[in-house]
Amino acid sequence: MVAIKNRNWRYSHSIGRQTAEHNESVFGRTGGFCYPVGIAPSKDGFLYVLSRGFGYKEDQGHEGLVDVYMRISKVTVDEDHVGDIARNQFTWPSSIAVSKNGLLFCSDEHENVIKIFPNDTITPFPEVNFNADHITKWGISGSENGHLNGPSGICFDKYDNLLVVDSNNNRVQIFTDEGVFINSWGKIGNNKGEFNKPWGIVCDNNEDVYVADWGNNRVQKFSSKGEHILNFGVSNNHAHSLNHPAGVAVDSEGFVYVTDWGNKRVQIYSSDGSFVSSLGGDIESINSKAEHYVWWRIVGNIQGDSPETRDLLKQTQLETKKYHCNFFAPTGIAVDQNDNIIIADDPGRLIIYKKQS
Amino acid sequence: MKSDLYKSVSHLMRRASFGASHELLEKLCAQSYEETVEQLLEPESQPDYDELTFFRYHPMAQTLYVPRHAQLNWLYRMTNSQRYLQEKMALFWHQIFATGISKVNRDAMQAQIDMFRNNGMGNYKTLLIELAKDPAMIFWLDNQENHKDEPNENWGRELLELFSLGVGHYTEKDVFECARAFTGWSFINEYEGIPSPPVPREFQYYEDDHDNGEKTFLGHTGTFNGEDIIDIILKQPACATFITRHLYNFFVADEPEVPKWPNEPPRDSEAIEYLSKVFVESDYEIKPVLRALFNSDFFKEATYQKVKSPVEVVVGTLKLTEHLGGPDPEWSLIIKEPNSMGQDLLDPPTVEGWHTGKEWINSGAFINRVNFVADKLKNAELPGVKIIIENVKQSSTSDSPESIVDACLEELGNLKLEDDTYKELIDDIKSAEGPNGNGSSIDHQIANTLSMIAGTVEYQFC
Repeated sequence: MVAIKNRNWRYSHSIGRQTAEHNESVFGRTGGFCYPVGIAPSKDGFLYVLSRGFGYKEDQGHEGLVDVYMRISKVTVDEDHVGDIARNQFTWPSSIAVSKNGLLFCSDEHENVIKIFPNDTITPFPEVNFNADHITKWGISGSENGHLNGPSGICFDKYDNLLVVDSNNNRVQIFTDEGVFINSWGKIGNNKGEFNKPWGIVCDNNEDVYVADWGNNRVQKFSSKGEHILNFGVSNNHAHSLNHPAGVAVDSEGFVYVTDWGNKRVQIYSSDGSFVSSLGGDIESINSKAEHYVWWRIVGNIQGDSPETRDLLKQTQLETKKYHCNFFAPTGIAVDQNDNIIIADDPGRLIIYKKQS
Repeated sequence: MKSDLYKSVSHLMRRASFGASHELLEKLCAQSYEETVEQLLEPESQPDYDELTFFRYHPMAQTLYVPRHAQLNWLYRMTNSQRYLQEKMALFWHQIFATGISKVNRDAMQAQIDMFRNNGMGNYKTLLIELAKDPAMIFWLDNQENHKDEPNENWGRELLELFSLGVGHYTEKDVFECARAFTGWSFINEYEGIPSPPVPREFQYYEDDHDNGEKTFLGHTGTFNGEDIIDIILKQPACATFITRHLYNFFVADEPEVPKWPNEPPRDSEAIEYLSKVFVESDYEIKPVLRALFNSDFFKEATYQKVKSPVEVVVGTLKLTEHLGGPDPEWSLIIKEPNSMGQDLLDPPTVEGWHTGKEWINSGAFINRVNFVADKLKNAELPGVKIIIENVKQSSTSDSPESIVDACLEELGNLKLEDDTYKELIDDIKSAEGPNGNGSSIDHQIANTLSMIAGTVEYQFC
């Protein structure tokens, strides 16, 4: 637990495990993700989690090449499986955002498009519903204004315009939700306002914009018009610095959370860029049901179901807690309306921290 | 017409690396052949590959969830690393010290390959000691089961038979004594106390499980520990001969399969003798041997004496066509290719590794390698193929089919074809009713000729 200015951040729990499906077992229902990269909370209390999948598609005959792991998972902060959406509808999904009217916007950094999905077209595992495709998509490959090359992080501003990190063009672009170009800023470099393969993005309540400048090991803060305000995360003090930051999120009080991907931790800064604290190292376990389920499959297969096996499972669960106390590779991050800090961690879990007064 | 230097450097890069793009070969021709050899021998002088960018776009390669991810990691690195010889040597040692992901966990296997990168061009004694301490190897050969009171001979036997001396240069008693010397050489299990197969994490020496008794090994007597055994091995003339024959087989020309070595002399005994002498005189430093090998006449003259391994086919083709020079979803398909051609990277069929040479092309997998290369070479949109096509157009003395075929053969490495094969290529271009049909553009005709060359037996050699 860390404390600052009467604020504490405490590890709460985790949900999910690496999977394409959900399973019913003697330990209850367990679900999960596969290399989750983006998280988008909705006003009605759901979380939409974008899984990148394994990156390879198997030939499913008449259905073509399929990656059943690649999808949007609809979950809540406590429940790891409500349903899956848009299975196999991407090549390299990167980020997700929910519009005011509840539509799911997803960036695909290989196809160079933004795809839009309804939030309720659940596709049961292992089906791949080719008929319930995206509502629409937009985006043109290129480097001209409004063109995209490797769109990664996306977020909506208060006017429901979509901010897109156009990563390989090293800039931020703003579009209407129908893809009409509005504005852009940035170019390759390491000076103020320049980028090196930026990744995540978020807007705060003051309409300021934070961008995870991945290759420059910093976060840059801009006004909504793209005027550079400040940089942070570059420090000689390793404890305060960033190493290839991936995602960025802001809570209701303006604390800025950055997934410090290269250092396998989450850094917290105040809105003026001063370092506040780090998260990580205190994760108690993966989700206990998921943990039990995974080991059940291993131990159960070896020894069968018996009281001894169940005792062994309990012991196993205790033992394995120590192996999962750190992040593996935190990428996407979001703060929900209750100020829960939700972090996507490879290969398939969400870590939830709570802020307390 | 390519210069002699270009041809020599092309040959060098096919062997010491996995081939090279035309741009790189032109660049290397700005210096002497010997300077290129020296550059290859100093991998640290070249930038390391951008691992973080790779992991960003291929996150599964970082966490190694399934074996294929570890394969992806290495295949990508072979294709994109500028430390060419370092990766080729890692593959060399992987083929000799064959350890498999079918038994060993992925992290330990990846750590072993890293160890080969770090030590593969250093001192052979150091390498053997690191190998004996390598958690993946210990688990692969069950040395964690080699106890003071109950020796397990697996590691001891393979150390002598496959990793240093070869059959015929030790006795069964030596194997037993060797095993005794390595008792207590074990590892820490990542998941100690958990009922699952061991997950070796790091080397651990258990003094109380080590047999400190007197041993007689290869004529020497003492209370030997593992490092003493390796010292004694290096004193055996057979050791230098065995390893340099492996180097010759890997870099110069195909030798018979290793089990035949006790009964069949090397195809070039003088070369092996020369390399062995360098190896011993340098106190088993590997770089001097490689320097001697690459600068030797027998190496320079040994063009097209080796059948490319599947990994060499795949990586070499990607380099030649300049395809997948960075993160790309297609990698997920590419990583299956070596396996489809008979070489499941990181998972050799046995502790003996893969059978090499003509066995690579004497199986049903031959068609897979031909199809893979042909598919890439006939794709006129790939950057490397575009360059080849332009070079062919510029270097063709005329539009005659012979001129086009000759230029294509030169671009693919100065290949020499059997007369019948050559004639087939000519006829294909001449034939208005041929597989290309009339009206095919010159670019596509050249690309098609390139892909047909990929199907020849001659192209399977490097």
